[in-house]
Amino acid sequence: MEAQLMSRCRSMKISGRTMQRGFVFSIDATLSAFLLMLVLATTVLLSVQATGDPYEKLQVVRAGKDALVVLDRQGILSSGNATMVEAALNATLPKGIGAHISISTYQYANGTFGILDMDEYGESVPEGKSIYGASRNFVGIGNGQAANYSSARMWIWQK
Amino acid sequence: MAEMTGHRRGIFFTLSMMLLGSALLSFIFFLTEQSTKSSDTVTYLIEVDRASDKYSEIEDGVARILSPSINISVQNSTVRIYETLPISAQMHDDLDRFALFEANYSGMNVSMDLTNATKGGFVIRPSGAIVANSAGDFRVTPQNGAASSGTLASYDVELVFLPGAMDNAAWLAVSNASGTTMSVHVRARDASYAVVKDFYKTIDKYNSSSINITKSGATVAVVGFSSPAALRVQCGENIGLKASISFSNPAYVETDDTISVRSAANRTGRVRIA
Repeated sequence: MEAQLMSRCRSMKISGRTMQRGFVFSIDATLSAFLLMLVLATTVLLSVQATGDPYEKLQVVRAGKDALVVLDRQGILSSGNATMVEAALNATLPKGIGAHISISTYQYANGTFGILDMDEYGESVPEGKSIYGASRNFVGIGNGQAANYSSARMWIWQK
Repeated sequence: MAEMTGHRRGIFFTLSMMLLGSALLSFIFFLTEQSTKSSDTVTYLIEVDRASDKYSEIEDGVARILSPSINISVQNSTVRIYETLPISAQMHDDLDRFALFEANYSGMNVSMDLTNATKGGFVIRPSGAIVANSAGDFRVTPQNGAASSGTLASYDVELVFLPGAMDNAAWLAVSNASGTTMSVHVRARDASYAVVKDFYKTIDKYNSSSINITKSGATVAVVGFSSPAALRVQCGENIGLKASISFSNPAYVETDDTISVRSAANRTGRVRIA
């Protein structure tokens, strides 16, 4: 009788230890999984941030704006000459940057601005790429007075 | 005793894992915050750029509209103003329309007060000399007393009349040159160069001198210099006026009006045109 009790107690002690080990093993596995997820999340987050450098945007926008100013001051934007505009774009923009320009020209008549002309220059805007924008309004002078008012919109992207 | 050591190890292991986890989380938060700050900085820089670009675009537009009637150029310390008088009423309309166009088509909150620019009103900086046009009157007036008039070194004025519109010119009054002098050159001629009258003099900045330009004895224009180093040209209509004003320091010209570009980064100021 006493021997049976001793044997039962021994087997209960063994199964208690096994349960404890299993519990510790589960906690250990959970912690490992948590840490693994944390490391993975950090890696993904950092890699996403690394690919989306915000200063890159600034540089592209600046390049586009500068090109518009150069083209306007040279009188090329108001010329309406597609060959000249495209040649000037190629000469002004840094290599590896594509651009598309849309120029809307307005004329003032009867107290309002009416559209006079709309021209498109440059490459087609690609899909699936980050597109940035720049714009410039300018005045066309003819016969010593403001003949028309134009608005140039530029789409720029890295090829 | 052995079981106690195992428990402690377990607790230390758990704690160290928690600490490592917290450190990693803090690191992620720190990097995310830095990245957000960097993005915010870029966004703000783009806004500053946008406002500055719009401002300089308006300056270009205003200068372009003014240029057929009033051509202003600056070479170091000399300001050259070429005008055809009277100033075209068309210029006034063009500036108004330009302001309307920018307000409606700029995509930004732009407002302009170009009241004085439409009348040919400018400020020469840093001396603060005011250039003003009114009917039959062109004035250059240093505003800040001696600090302003002291830097004004010379005037070179040319009045171009229609052929046959003038036939003589003479000094009406000449101030004696004293310690504070400026040199002046006045040329009155007709467009065909049939009559050309040149006057060179070193005069007192703080006294009055004037030249009378006549046609058959009748006054058609007066070029006057008065204290403090001011110039006034009184004339009828349809003349070409070239005024070259030299200072002792480098100068630039602004319109006597302001424009505002409102965005996340506002910019308000006078339009620098030369």
